[in-house]
Amino acid sequence: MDTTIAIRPVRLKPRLPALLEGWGPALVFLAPALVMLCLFKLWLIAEAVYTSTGTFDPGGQRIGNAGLDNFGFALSDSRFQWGLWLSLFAAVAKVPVQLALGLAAALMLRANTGGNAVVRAMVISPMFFGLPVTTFIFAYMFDANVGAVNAILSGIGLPRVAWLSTEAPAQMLVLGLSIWRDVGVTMLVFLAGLSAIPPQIANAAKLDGAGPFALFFTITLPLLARSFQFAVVLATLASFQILVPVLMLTKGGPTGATDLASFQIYETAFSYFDLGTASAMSLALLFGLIVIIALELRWLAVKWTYE
Amino acid sequence: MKRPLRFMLRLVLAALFVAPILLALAASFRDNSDMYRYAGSLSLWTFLPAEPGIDAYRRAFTLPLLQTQLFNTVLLGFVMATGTTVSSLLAGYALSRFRFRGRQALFLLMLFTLFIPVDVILPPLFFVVRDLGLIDSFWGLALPFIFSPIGVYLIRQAIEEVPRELDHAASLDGAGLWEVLRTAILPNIRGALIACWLMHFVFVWEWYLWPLTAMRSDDGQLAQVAIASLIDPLRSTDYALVFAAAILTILPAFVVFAILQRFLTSSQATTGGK
Amino acid sequence: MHKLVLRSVTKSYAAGSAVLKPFDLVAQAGELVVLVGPSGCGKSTLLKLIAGLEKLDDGQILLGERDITNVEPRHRRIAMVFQNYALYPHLSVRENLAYPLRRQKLRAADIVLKVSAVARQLRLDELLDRRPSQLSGGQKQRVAMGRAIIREPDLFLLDEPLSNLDAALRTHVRGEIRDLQRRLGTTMIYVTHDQVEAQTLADRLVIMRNGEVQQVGPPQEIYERPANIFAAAFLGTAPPNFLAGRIVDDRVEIGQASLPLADLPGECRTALAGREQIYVGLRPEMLRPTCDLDRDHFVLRGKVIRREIVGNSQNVHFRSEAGSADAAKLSALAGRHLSDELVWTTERAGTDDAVELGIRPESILFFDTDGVAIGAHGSDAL
Ligand SMILES: Nc1ncnc2c1ncn2[C@@H]1O[C@H](COP(=O)(O)OP(=O)(O)OP(=O)(O)O)[C@@H](O)[C@H]1O
Ligand SMILES: [Mg+2]
Repeated sequence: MDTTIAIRPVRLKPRLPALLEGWGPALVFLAPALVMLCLFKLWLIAEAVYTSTGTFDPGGQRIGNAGLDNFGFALSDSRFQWGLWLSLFAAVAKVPVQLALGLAAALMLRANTGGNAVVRAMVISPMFFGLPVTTFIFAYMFDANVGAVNAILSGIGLPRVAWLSTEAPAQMLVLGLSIWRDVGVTMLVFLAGLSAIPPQIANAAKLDGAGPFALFFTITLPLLARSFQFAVVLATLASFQILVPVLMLTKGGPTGATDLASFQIYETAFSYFDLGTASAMSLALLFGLIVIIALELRWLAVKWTYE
Repeated sequence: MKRPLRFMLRLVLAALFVAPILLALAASFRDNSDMYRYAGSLSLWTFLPAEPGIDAYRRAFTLPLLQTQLFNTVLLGFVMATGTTVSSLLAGYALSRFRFRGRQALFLLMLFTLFIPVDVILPPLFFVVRDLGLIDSFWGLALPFIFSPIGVYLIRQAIEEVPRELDHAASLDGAGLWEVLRTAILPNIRGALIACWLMHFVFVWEWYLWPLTAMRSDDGQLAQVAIASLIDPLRSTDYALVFAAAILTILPAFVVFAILQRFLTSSQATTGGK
Repeated sequence: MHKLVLRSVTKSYAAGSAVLKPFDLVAQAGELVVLVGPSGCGKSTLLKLIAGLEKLDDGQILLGERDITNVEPRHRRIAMVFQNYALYPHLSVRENLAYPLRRQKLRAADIVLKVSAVARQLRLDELLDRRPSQLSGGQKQRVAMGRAIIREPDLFLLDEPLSNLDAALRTHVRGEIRDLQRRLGTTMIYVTHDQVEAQTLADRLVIMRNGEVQQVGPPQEIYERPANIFAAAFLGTAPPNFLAGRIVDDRVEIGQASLPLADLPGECRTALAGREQIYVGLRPEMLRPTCDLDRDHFVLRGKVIRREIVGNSQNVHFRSEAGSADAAKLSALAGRHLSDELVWTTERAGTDDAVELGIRPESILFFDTDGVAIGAHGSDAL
């Protein structure tokens, strides 16, 4: 027996499959995040896929397989198509406006003075109130009867607007709320980008003959490319999260003007209890979102680095 | 640009963001009849209370469940902030310091979940939590969001900036994996930890959809969701009450923020210089 | 070729602390003027003022015939090379070089011609399509130079352009810059910390301290006749050995050693006469063993503490009873730490533990107790 041990190569631990190399000690630390990730992100997607292929009774019990019928049903439904267009429209309307405003605010407030710090704090302040409370504020400001906006309009001789029951104003209200809330984030992204530009580079450009416009378009803007990319993705993501004011104020109306895909998903699941279709719609919208973000990341890819 | 013009622009910008908030604050100190009386024509009293009073706050206190619901929000804030910070810290440590196959891929996968907004995926999330039997429970609200990609990113980034020599020195001094984390890394990422904690704490006041969906009982509901049901866009809303209650609701977040914000800036000042 | 004139330029960032005291400087047309001085003395600030990147509080700047005091940077026709090169990271080398020309709205064909001419001149042909992050330090430096020369400015400003290169490359690029400047004949202001760089490049050297000029002149002249202790300590491989001395009767006494005034050059003798306390500076490389000197008037005896071999020469550190008791005051005047050890730089490999050294009287530097040179030292004011 002793001799066999002596000739055998010493192997203290059994070899792990190569795939799991190094996971042992890491797993202990990763465990909490990993469990939650698996349960509420990965399983979530799996659950969505599974539910989307089923039919359900109103009590939520699965009563049959639907294959891809739910997708077919949702995507051929003209109301859902309209909802998807609205969601896309929200992104297309929100992203450029928010970026322009955020960039303008960042450029205006980039110098580190006390006054600027105060104004910056004010621009980001809506973030601290939380989405529900900011929605209350907008509901009040744009209230048809007691709202300050209508009071001002009529005060300067313009007609009062029924904000929540007219189509374009309702859309503007929902988008405006979202932009108002999020401009601060975009501004912060651009402020960080601006402060990362080495002052020497701007100085070099000035000596090389760049005036304010040339400096902005040939140096500042290109050097903000990374911030741009980040801000665009963040704003796009946020444009898919404007369900709260819709749910709280417009309920998809008037006449479908704010009937966003996400609102329809909510209704389908929790008012009509059509779980299969709701899941299929969720996946379709999620897919659309990811495609848009992938395209943006591609178009806005940055090919240079500082040093 | 001339100085007065610059000043005006800043003033307009500031007003754009602060005026609505001040307007809401003012509304909480007036009563409804007052609000309706002056709404028709434009005057100072359209915006400010003609006879300021705290009646709305008195009524907010007598809302049957507001105090319980406010407690729910604050408790959830503490649980979420602590839970996400701890799980992010542990994961960030592993992702920054351990070598294992697929580490980069795992990190990317975690970041990728940022692109799954609740608004879009609400029904399936509801089903998962229902399958776990957690609907209508506090943990049903909290657990799905204890993993936070932003938290992991933030803390991993902070740990990356701690020089590895510090770990090596600590482990040569006999520290194990946990001691390295506790003695070499933790003290150096305090700023990021507080930022992460605070961010997720404040973030709970942002919640609406998930508690609306996953919490059906009134005494388990969050304050902001309950207050939202006071708003009825089609009929006249008691805005004074809404804002009084809303201000009571966000007060705890402000207090906590004000207390911790000091640590935030001071720790950034010490580590901020790279 | 353009002459640069600064007339009592002042600048302070915070009230009460002037970064530049009223500052005067003339760079003749085609001259290469090097600014040296310790960190924080205001060299970069001065360049930024000349470039127009900072506003001056008071004074006047003339370039050639033009008063450029209030001209915007982009209209000053000045090119600057920054310490970290400040290349545009999002543009290729080609576009970096073309940038100043594009701002002048030159025709595309002319731009192509000029870029390729400059690229050939600076051996950048192969690199034209790379981005700055794909270049080595030396290559970046050449691109920065290229961007500066391409639009034929009236004045070059270089702020420590070589400090990010390794030693060997630095020597090489230094030569290239010198040649380039000679060939183009463009006036150049060059800032450096490195006194070897300063001495090898400069037509004239400007030694600065705390926003004030200490001395201006050709490097050799400053080395031989420094205007004060600070300037004396700044140039030379090692600072001079500073010793406290007294004039007693007709002799200079330094510790136990002494030297008759009669042995000193005439101007020196008259300037020293009637003084009491003085400082003398003995450059380490000027000390000789007494046996090599024909006269042995001034003898410094000491015990060797340590030797440092540097190539074929060595620095012998020794301590002598003549060693200064005023190390603190001398350090303040010199702007650097001076110990009470003395140094002798020699090429011979002596092994003795005791040294006996002398110096030719005309090589001794004399200073008054405020550190100002005595005798016919100092040079032209501007
Ligand atoms: N933007 C600024 N604001 C306030 N003080 C400044 C500013 N720039 C420079 N200073 C101060 O002015 C003084 C001179 O700075 P400057 O950069 O000109 O020094 P320098 O001679 O170039 O030094 P170095 O050799 O280290 O580059 C320093 O004391 C510095 O702290
Ligand atoms: Mg400098």
